[in-house]
Amino acid sequence: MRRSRVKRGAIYIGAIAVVLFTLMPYVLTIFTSLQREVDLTSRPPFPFKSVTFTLDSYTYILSYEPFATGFLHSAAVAVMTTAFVLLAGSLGAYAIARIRFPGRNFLFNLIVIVYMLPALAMLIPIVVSLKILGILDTFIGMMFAHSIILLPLMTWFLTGIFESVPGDIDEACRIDGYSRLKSLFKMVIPLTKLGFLMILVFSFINSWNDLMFANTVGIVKIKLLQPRILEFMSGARVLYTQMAAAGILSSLPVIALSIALQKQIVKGIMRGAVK
Amino acid sequence: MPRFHKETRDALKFLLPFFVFLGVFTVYPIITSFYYTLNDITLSHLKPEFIGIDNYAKLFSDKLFRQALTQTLLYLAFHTAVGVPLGLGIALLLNEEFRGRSFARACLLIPWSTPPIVAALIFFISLNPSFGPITYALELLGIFSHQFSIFGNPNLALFGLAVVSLWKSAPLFAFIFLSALQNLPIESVESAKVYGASSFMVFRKVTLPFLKPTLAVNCILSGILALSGTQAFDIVVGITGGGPGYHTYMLYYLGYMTAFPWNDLGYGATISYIVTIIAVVFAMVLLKLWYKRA
Repeated sequence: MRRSRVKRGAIYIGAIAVVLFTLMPYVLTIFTSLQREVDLTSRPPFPFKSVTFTLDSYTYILSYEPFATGFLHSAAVAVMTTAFVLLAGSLGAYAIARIRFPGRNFLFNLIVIVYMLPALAMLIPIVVSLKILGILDTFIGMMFAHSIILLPLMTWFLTGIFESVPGDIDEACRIDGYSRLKSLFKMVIPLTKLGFLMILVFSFINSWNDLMFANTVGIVKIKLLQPRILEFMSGARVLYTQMAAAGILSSLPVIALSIALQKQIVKGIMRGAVK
Repeated sequence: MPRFHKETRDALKFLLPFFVFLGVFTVYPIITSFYYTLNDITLSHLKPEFIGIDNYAKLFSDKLFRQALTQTLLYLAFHTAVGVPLGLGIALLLNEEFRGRSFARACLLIPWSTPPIVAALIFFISLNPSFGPITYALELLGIFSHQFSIFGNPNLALFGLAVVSLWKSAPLFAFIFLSALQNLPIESVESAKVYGASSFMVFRKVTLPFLKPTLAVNCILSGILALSGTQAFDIVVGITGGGPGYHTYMLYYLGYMTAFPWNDLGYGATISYIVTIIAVVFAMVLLKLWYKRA
C-alpha cells in the first residue's frame, strides 16, 4: 500500500516535470509577447515583478507587411506541398504495398537511404535545376523543394500504413471490377483515414516549419514566414516583444493543427517507422 | 524488346510521378553535387574547374573543419545519449495510468510542432542574460552567475544549443517509444511479476529487449536530426550563428556557410558529403547492433 502511494507520488512529480519542461518556455514567450518593451528589458523579468499587459505587439506584427505576406505564402506552399506529397506518395506507396514487382524491397530500402541524405548536399544543384526549369522563386518551385525530404519519408510511412489493410479487401474490389486506382482512392485510403490524416498533418507542419529551403529557393517573389522570424532575430527591425509575438503567431497554425488532431497523432505517430 | 509483366507495368504507372520527382530532384542533384566536390566552383562563377581531390585534401589541413567535426560529434553524442533516454523516461511515465495523462501527452505536441526557428527564438529570449526569465530563475537558484550568457560562453554555448534541441527532439522520441509500448506483451510482464521480479527487473528483462528496435529507430532519427536536420541548422543560425568565435560551428552549418556566404560551392559540397558519410556509418552501426527483427 505504502509502496504504491510512493509510486503514485513519483508519477505525479514526473508528470509535472514533463509539463513544465514542454510548456514553460512557450508560455514564458507568450507572456513576453504581451509585455511592453520597457517592462521586458528591465530587471527583474516578468514572473518576478508585476507588469502591464498589452496586445500592442500583436497589432504591430499583424499590420507589418512582410509578416502578413510570409504568413499567406507559407500557407499556400504548405497546402500545395501536402497535396502533392499525398498524391504522389499514395500512388507510390500503394504500388510498393500491393503490387508484386521485381525490385520492390530494394525500392523500399532505397527510400530510407534517400531520406537520410542531407538536404544541404542537394541544395545547390536544386537551385540550378529549378532555374533551368524556370520555376526558381515560384510557388511550384518551393513546393518541389519542400517535397524533396517529405516525399520519400511520407511514401515510406504510407507504405506501412497501406500494408495494414488486409490484401483480401483489395482483391475483392478488383473482382468487383474496380481498377487499382479506384480501389486505392475508394477503399484503401478511406480505410486508413487515421494514418492518412497523420501524414497530412506531418507534411503540412514540415513544410510550414522549413527555414533552409525557404531561405535559398525563395528569393524575391516567394517570401515564406520562417525566414522572416530569422530576420527579426538577427536584424534590429523589431523589438523583443514584437519578435516574441511574431514567433507565437507563426507557430500558432501548426500547434493548433497538432492539438486539434492530437488523437490521430498520438495514436498514429511513426507507425510506419516502428512496425 | 522485353515485355514487362502486367503487374510490373501497373506498378510503374503508379510509381511514375515518384520516380520522375526522385530523378530530377534527388538523383540528379546528388550526382551533380558529387561532381562539384571535384571542382572549383562558386555561385557567382558557375563554371566548374576540375581540381580532382583537392577539396578532400584540404579537409586535412583545415583547422575550422577539425573544430566543427569535434563539435558535431559532441553534439551528436549529447543529443543521442541524453535525448533518447529522456524520451524513453517520458514515455514510460506517460504510459502509466494517472489523472491528467492525456493533458501531459498533449503538452508534448507543443515542442514537437513548434517551428525550429521559433524554438530558437523562445530560448534566445528566455535565456537572454539581462532580462531572460529562465536566466533570472537560474540566477536565483545559484546555478548561473549574475547576468550569465550561456550562448555567449565559449565552453557552454554548444551545450546550450543541445538543450534547445532536446526540447524539440525528446517529445518526438517519447511519442515513438509510447506507440511501441502499446504493443508490449502484457502477458510477459504479468508472468514476470508473478515470479516476483521487481519493476526494475521487468524493465531490464522484458521491456528493454522489446524496445530494442524502437531504440535503434530513435537513435538513428536522433543522428539525422543532430547531424543534418533542423537541430543542426535552424537552431544554430537562429541563436548563435556559429559563435562565440567558432565554438558552435558544426559540419552542416559549416558546409552551408562555405557554400553560400563564403561562396565556395565545391568545398561546401565536400563538407556536406562528409556529413552524409558520418550519418550513414552511424545508422549502419546502430542497425547492426540493435535492429534485428524476428
